[in-house]
Amino acid sequence: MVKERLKLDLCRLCFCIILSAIFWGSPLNVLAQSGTAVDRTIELKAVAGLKYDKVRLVIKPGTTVRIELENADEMLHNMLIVEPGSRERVVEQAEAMDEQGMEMDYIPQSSNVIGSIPLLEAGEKASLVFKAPNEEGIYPYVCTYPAHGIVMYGAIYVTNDPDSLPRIDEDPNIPEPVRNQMAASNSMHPYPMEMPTVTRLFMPDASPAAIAVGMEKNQSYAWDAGFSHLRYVWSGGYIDASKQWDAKAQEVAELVGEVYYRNTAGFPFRVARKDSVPTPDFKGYSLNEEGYPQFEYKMGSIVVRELIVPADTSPGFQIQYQLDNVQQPIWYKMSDNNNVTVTVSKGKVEEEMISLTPEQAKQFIINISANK
Amino acid sequence: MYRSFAAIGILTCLMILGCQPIEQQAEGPAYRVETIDTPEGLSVETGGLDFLPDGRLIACFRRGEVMIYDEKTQEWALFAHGLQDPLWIKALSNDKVLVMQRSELTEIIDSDQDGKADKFRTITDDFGMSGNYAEFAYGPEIDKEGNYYIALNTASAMAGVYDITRGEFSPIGRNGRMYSAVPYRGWMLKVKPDGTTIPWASGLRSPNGLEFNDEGDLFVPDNQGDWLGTSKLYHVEKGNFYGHVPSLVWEEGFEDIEPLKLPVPVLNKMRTKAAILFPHGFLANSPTQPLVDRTEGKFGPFTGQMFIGEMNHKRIMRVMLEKVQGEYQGAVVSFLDSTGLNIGNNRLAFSPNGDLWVGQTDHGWPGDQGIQKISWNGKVPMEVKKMSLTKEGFELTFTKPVNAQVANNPENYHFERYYYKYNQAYGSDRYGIETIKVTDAKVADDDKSVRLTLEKLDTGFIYDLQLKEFASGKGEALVHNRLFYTLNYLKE
Repeated sequence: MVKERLKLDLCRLCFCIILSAIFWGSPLNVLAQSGTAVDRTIELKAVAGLKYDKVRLVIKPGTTVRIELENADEMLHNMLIVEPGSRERVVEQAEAMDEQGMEMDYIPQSSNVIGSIPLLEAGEKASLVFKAPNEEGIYPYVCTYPAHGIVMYGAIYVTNDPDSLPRIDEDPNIPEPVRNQMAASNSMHPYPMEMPTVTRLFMPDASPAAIAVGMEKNQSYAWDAGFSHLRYVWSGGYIDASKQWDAKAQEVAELVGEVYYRNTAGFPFRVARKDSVPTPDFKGYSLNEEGYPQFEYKMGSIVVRELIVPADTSPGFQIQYQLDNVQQPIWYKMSDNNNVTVTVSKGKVEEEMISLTPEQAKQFIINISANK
Repeated sequence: MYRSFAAIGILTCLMILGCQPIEQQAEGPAYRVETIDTPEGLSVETGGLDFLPDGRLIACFRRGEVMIYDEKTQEWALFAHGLQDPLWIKALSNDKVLVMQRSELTEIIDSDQDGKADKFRTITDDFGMSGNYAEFAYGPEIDKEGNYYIALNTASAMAGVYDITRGEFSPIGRNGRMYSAVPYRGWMLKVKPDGTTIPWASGLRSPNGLEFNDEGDLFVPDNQGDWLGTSKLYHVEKGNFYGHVPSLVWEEGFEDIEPLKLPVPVLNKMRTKAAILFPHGFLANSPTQPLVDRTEGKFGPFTGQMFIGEMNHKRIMRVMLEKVQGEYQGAVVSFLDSTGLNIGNNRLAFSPNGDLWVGQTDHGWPGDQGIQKISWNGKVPMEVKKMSLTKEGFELTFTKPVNAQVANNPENYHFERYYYKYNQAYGSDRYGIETIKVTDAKVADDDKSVRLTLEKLDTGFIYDLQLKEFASGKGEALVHNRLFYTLNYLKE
């Protein structure tokens, strides 16, 4: 039923909204006819994370505005403008509509509802016209789809003095999560951020099974558990995960700092022959005394342990390898980076490969430092 | 114009039918909900809850923390951190837990027993990841032989895939609203203790919860959406396909088949139907973890039945399963509505003393954050304890003797039946809505059960029963008076 109804062209939908407002007659009579001249058009979006993209609209008393709502989220959302102080009541009334709710777009028959846009599916748009009263006041707008109303709302400030608004992070008329975001502190966890630290999350330029590791000396790296190798190393900070964690995880984390080293070789090991690339099998990691992860993976029967720590010279890092069950010669393909100096503790460097005997491969270190 | 008609229609409905909403009655005085204080700085998006053998709670959270809560001291301690969106936790001992991350099933060990985990051992990561945010992973639950079962969410067409994916990429699997572009999205997998990973069953969309019953049968919910007219609870068995189509791309023998192009009647024939349907919107929008009550009476009169969480309502539901013609089906009823409960009821766990702990989340969807505890105070609530199918209709068993005068009157049973369509569309309206008369009602001698005869009893419907006039013999109102029975098979 709802779906069929939403197939109505949007123009007609707008017309219906206005009719409905008249039908449910508000004493303020704040909705004007479609086509009425408006002083301003405000674009508003319903976005992921149960939010409107704007949580405060500021207009002067007596002006007429058109609010164009676009549903840029995947869930259904509506928008009701309600009498000052009545948001929670209207949300409760909508919740109580039960199975009638969908059919009525969760717009309760209530004298508190001044105007409304019905439920919009993903990508749909509709608009309404709001004529602000001549008196100042704070008019909430809210999505009344079940469970949305407690966080998905904003406020229209009808005021002659826009500068008198409270600070957005202290405004009781906007949702708490938005306020908190505004007042966000640096730690996103119940523990202080101390290096080293490990965070598994979506990272740029890596598979979705990435691991971010923050090291001492203001350096960090991304290691890819999907492919069992280092991806890149940066200096200047760690990560900003707020965008990934504030919504459904559509966003990768942002790097804080500059990448100075990238693995261009892919999985670096070759076993027995120079052109034989094994398929690694990731087995997990252990944290050492300082808290650095030592990764473990297998290539055939060979067990590799890989520990990455900051080098003595900064920015720079060291990869410490331990290989068990090595019976055959090992080659290690080096990456192609400008402006870094690579040294190895064992083996022979032949063009882009390090060649190691089984004995040498048991334990070796690669040291990579950025050139000044 | 249209809107005016709708409004008038709704008014009429309100006046004549009363529209019969689910009544939000307090469960008190039988159950009490208490909110647990959580540490400052913790985003309490609860991914998993369990109890350690020593009785402490262990929980994992969206931003990667695993924390332990000691109810006696009311103190939280950090056990591990940095995990990838963990959505399940299973305690193996006081210093070893299993955690399902987006990327892998991990055994997390505190090997030096200093209270902090130091070893993160990958049990299996033999499944694909495209980078899509909806590719969640759930489980494990463990069978009697010690095998793990995990379930993989499909991806959402509301977002794309990464350039670098883990596992083979299937362009055909990429089609659909919720899709399966990398292996075993939409599947249940069996994982042997050595890590060997076996595709087990397909056709799942958002299987956010797993539970074995005492007979060793595995149950998994799924969420209304494409291919799901309404949310469901499946009895999952090896080799079955449960109806969400894109996952079939990873089925053996489907190499040259585009699953979404198969005719719906063929898919309908292939699929295994759900044991329980949860009517969408007014009962449940997103059912979560099912949990069998094994408290042996410490949590009230429902031992052996299954509770299941719900994301969008302040609600925990109760499921009453029975076998008819060898297959599970049964009824669902609200167990707790409100009484201080939040929404976002994602995870459930019974403490050793029989309290039901509820972990909430929102994770960018409707929900709440937090942990709450539901305790029973020993008073038996007036409820329908069991609803079972008979040859003529249904038998209802109550927790207490019922007012026989009310219960013997067939007019006090308001049955409606309807069904939801199986097709690719997102959700479904209710079809075939029909009032079904009760022609006879007979209360048993002890006044604790009643047998009903219905004028029509057919498969393929939800039988939606309301008992608005009901009360116990002492006049105590029925706490939850609306039940939904999924009728797939008739009594032979």
